[in-house]
Amino acid sequence: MPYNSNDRLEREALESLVASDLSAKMKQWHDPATPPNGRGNRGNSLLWLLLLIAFGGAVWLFWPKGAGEKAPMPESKPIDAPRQQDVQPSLPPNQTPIAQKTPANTTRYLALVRSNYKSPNFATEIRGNAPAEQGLLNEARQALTEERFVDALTALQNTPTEYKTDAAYLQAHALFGLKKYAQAATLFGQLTGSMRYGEAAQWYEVLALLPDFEQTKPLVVKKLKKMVEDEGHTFQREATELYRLL
Amino acid sequence: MSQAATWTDQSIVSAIAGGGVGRDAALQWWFGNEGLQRWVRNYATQHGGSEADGEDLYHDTFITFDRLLREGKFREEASLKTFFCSVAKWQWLNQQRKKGRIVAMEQVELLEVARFAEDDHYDRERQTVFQKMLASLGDKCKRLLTLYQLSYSMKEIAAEMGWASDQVAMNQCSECRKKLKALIENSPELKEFLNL
Repeated sequence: MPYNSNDRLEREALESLVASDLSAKMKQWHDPATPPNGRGNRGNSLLWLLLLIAFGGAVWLFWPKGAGEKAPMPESKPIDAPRQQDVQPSLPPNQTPIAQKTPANTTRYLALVRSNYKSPNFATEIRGNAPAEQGLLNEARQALTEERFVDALTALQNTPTEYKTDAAYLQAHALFGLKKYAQAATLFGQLTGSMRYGEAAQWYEVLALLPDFEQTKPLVVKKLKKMVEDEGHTFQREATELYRLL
Repeated sequence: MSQAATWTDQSIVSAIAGGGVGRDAALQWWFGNEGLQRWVRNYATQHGGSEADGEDLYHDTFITFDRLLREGKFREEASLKTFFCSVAKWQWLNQQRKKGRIVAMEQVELLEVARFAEDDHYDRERQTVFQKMLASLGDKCKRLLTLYQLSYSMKEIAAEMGWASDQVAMNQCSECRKKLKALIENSPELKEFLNL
């Protein structure tokens, strides 16, 4: 079961909030009072500049003759139009999703992730006589073995659809390796019903949810408990130990 | 050197996909691209739409584009502008289908739009239904959950919302998510509308 309907609705509801927010911003950017890139203000500035030049000219024309002093130049101070760089903050340093932040209270959970995550041995799954269509999967497996996570993701982009489950599992591990825990959790979550990867996906999903434990605690506890109580679950021992630590 | 010159496809994608405060700047810069606006408007009018349809198409494409980038759907197979235009075509196709109109597309265009998942496109009717459901959530929760969805850290959320600490943000976030879940639980008509 990839997503239950409530999860999907929650995601769509949150996206709807984002869309609403963006719509409002677009309206604001359209508004001549706060135009995008400051084009409208630039127009205003030109108007001000012209008015000031005209005023300056008038002062020069009507300044008492023989005063022998240089006519003062009007102080031309047009309102500064916001230049692109003014509205352009630098990219946020190390901007990362919530699950990847490391405030003090999540450090412990990240440590638990590190100590519990053991990457599957992808190298053993690479078969020399595999059909050509599996080439990209093998490429990704090789990249994962060598911790070249971005390369793995790149290789997986064009995997044939008949291997989408394998691709998703590898992709989830690559994201995990890149510390994109929230995205990895989503992908692992989609694989928890898989015949081949189900139990592993359940375990790795829990690990991927751990960095955001403050938010995901009820879910993590529930999932862990299920594994603990599932006699014969491949990761029962690991789950039991983690459950104890949490 | 102006900042405009420093934006590259890659920096725009990472700013938007990274969420947080960098996203707005990148989006605003992209939004101001008059060439793209013109292209999208022309596309709509050349395919049986009005000027107003063109405006709407740009708006809707922009929202879908933002979502796709945040979800990592841009694969750098082509430029970001080409990607944006593909999104516009796809958005147009969906809108017209919904109105029961047939859109003639070339094979190349069909291949371009085939990569997108049905759920990811911006649908005004769906948006209205969600907004109606979310009305009772309250402005504070709506704002907070928007920031949450945009991957702001709890610290950034606290700063945006004027709260004393990230712990407050965390607690509030938890409360608001509970409220949202409860709203979803109690919205059978929404599930029906979305065929869930």
